Amino acid sequence: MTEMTGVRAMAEEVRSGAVDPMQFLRAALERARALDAAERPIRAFLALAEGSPPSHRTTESEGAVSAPERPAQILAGVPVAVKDNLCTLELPTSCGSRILEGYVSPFEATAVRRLRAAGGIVAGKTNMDEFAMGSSTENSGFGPTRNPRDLSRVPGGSSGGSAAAVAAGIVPCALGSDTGGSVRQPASFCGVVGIKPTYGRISRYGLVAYASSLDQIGTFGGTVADAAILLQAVAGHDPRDSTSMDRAVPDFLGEAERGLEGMTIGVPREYFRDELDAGVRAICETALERFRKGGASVREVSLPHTRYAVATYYVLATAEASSNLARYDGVRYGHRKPEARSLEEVYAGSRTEGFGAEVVRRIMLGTFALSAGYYDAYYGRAQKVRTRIAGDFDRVWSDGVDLLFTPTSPTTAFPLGARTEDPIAMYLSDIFTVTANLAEIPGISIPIGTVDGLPVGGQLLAPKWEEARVIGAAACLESMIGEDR
Amino acid sequence: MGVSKDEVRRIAALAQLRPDESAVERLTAELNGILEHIQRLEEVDLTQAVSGDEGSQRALPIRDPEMEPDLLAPGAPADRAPDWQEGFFVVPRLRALDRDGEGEVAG
Amino acid sequence: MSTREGVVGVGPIEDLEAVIGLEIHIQLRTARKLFCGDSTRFGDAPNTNVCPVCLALPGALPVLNGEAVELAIRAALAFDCEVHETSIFARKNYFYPDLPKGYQISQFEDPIASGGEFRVQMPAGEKVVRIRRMHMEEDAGKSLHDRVAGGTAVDLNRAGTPLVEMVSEPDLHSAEEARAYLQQVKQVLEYLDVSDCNMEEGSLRVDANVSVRPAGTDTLGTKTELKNMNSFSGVEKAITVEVARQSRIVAEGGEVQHVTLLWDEARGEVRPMRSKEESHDYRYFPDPDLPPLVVGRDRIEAIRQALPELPAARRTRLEATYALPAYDAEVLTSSRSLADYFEAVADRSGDPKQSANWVMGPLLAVLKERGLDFESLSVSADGLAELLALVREGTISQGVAKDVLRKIFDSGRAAADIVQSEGLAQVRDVGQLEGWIDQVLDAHPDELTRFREGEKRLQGFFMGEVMKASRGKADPGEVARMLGRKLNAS
Ligand SMILES: [Mg+2]
Ligand SMILES: [Zn+2]
Repeated sequence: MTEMTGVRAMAEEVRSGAVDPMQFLRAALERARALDAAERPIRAFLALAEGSPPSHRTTESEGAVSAPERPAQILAGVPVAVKDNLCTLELPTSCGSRILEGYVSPFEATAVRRLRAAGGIVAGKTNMDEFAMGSSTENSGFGPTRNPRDLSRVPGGSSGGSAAAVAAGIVPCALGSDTGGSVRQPASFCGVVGIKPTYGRISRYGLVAYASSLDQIGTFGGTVADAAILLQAVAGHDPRDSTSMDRAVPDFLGEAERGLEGMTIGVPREYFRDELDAGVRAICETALERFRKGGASVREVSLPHTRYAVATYYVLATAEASSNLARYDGVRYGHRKPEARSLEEVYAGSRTEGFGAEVVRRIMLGTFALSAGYYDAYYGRAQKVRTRIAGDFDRVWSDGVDLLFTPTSPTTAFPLGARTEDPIAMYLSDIFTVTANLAEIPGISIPIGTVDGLPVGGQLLAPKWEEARVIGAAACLESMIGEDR
Repeated sequence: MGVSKDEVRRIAALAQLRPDESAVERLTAELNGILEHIQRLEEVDLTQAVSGDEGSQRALPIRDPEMEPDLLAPGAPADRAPDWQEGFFVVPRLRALDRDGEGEVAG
Repeated sequence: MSTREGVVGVGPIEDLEAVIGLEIHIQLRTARKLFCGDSTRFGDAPNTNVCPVCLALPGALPVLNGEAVELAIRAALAFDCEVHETSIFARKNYFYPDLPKGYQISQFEDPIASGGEFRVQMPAGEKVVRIRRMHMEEDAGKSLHDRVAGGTAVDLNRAGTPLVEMVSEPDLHSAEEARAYLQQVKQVLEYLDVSDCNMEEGSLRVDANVSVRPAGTDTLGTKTELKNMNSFSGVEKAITVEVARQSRIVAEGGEVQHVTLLWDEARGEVRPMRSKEESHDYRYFPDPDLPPLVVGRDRIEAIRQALPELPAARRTRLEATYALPAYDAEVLTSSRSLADYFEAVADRSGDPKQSANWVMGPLLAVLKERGLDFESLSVSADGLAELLALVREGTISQGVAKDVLRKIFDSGRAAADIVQSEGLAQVRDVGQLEGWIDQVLDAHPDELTRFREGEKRLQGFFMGEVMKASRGKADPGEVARMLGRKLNAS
């Protein structure tokens, strides 16, 4: 029987010839189909790969974006679930939107090219909130995904399909995108690991833009190592993305053995306010206790601008989104309103038919924030508050703090339908994750326990480019939790 | 600072969206709710400029002059276009001299 | 300007002054587009020079072309602008079918350059026109309204071509001034080799902001924006028509409306573009895909050092070095290639005055008569210098030389070769000249009598007849001397 034993072991088996290179893919597809045939299907995927080797139409262009020598086959034969907002040549890229239903990208995202160059296989495209706008995957134009840990609940979002695919054991790792917490929060809800690297660490070329200054591709894994190895495969400078950083990629697991001795872990008081769910709080306390046991010192710190983070995020993200989504106009690709007789009908008709309610809401908010007479009060002001939020973090780092620890989300996974009527409640559930996007810093969410059987995620944050530090600390915590079990 | 239904209609026109009356009503309420939350940004003292206020700290890279455009899969863009004729994307007829987005289409 | 003639009999007559600023869009002559690697070639099959970036496919991202930055800075320095070390690309948001992303990447609050000055030769003397700003932006595609039945066809080959927009202060006060400014801007751009500057092909496009005010005041009236002018004369005509229209409104006590007007060349009139208020809200904001463009002082200075000599400097130098009259220097520097050509001929021939006369005179005349532009000239500077040497040495006359020039044009042969093989060399042999003179005098006894009775101006007539008899080959100096002697001897 083919077990998803973890990325390193699987790739090793494939490289050594012990298993057929397509075997893990076939097992993944089988499991995905079986889960979706159930009475309450998970529906992690919008499209599944064929069981045959993908044609390698882009071998040449792969060379152009990869390291000069052929990259190590660290993902050999490993099936990887890919969020539907990453362009792939083989399967549709709809971003969970009716406006791009059936759209097949004629080019491929750099991250996808790289994962394939490392031997990985795209298992399918995963469900998501439309254009990554949401925190529950209920905003998908193609129906919601269920949380594998409790089928009556949401998997979180917007990368809910990728988180669910890993949590359900279909694939060992997956790609998502994180604009305000869209990798870390679903990882927390589904009880898996999710990494959001530093802004600029992974090329955004081929990631369909929601909010360009905040969007960053992230990785999921059943374990810290699985998520880290996928990150290793896709990270690195890309000359096709002007915001990707030309900077050496370290061994992300290089600090995992180092341990926590001598580390200073900061606990921002603004993330542990009275209204925090008591169960979540208790589990966080336990995690902090483990850090102390591991030799780290833990101290309270303050990030005073935290209360402005959600407001800042929603102004900036929606402003950028209102412009990024202008290209969906029914002219060159995507949905066009049938029988539109004027250009106005092509535009407004196609967009009104094609976009769901949340996308419309955010385009409206963003258009407003940029419009004449409001720009300074909203966009301009939010931009300045953003630098203050980033400044909070800088101050903490220069005070000798190595890492910050927070809950990933104020709550555990909520029931399907529970928050769809209240946009603000939904927005506020991003409160602990948006700050990392605003400050461009790396973060990870790892499972640290359960409340009423539902997973709770703990978040670790570090200064820019210090992914290895969060990964190392998370790996230590992970192994301590494993020993105690 | 709140928005009126008329303002919501004006913004929808700018964004090429066409919400019906009930959607305008709902959006007006929702936007006002969100704006009320956003209001708190006014509390932040911005009188003291900090580094980063002028925008991104990174510098813009320059393209390698030799870098070729990324290839399109065979068939594109023709086979993705809603209306493609004789090598052109086609939209319903515009009057010849309207141009530059100042005319014709908004609203 | 005065509007007296325009407003006869309507209300109080008042002197009005036109106030004009020009916005010039200059297509930069780069091989590739501004934010992607596609070719900028003109005239290819539609939608063939396109890629994910300029088709605005989901997931595509822009990457800046350094050559365009270089050309933009070169242009900015030539017009004495301050080039900013940091400039920011911003999105200008509006919907249009040939604007694939739904926004144009341009520069708004932080352009690459601002605050320039340009000295323009106006009919009434030199004048300084201030340049408000120069910014970089991408071009849109093309919408063709008569290409497919019932629809507008969109070609995105041009989408993403680099442009510089050059905005003047409203320092121009007549249509003639606007034209002179535009022409001299184009001349400088050609010297800089930053653009093809072809108004017909759209590589140079001009919009004008026009208003009127009482002469001598410095208030600004409500302006209108004039678009769709596709030639220099179109710019001049459109502004003339619009200034007259506004003057009439003001003289009648009316108010000019702030509108965008389209010049209709065929009808010679301006008409308002259909417009809705809200569409002017472009919602500019810094493009989050493009961090600030930073160009070091050193780089800017290196570009300044490498600037070619500009028309004004060259005019002065030609006057001084070749002792040319101001007028000649101005004509010869009208384009960089013409000036280069002149200098090459003058240096080879060693006779600048003769070279200037020949380049400005016969050479340009033949080009004009053949309907050719200077760039397609087939006579090399060496070839012309050789021809001029034959004239100076007296081997051929000026008249014969002009014919030889045409033959060089047509055949590409060398001047000496043509003169030799067609026997065009000037005749100075006394015997042969005397033969032609006697033949003419014998044939015109009446005129000879009248000459001897005092009608001296007939000498010219005899001169012409002798040259005719020699089929232009007789040395005119020698003929004049001999003829004078014969006529006056009795
Ligand atoms: Mg412009
Ligand atoms: Zn292109």
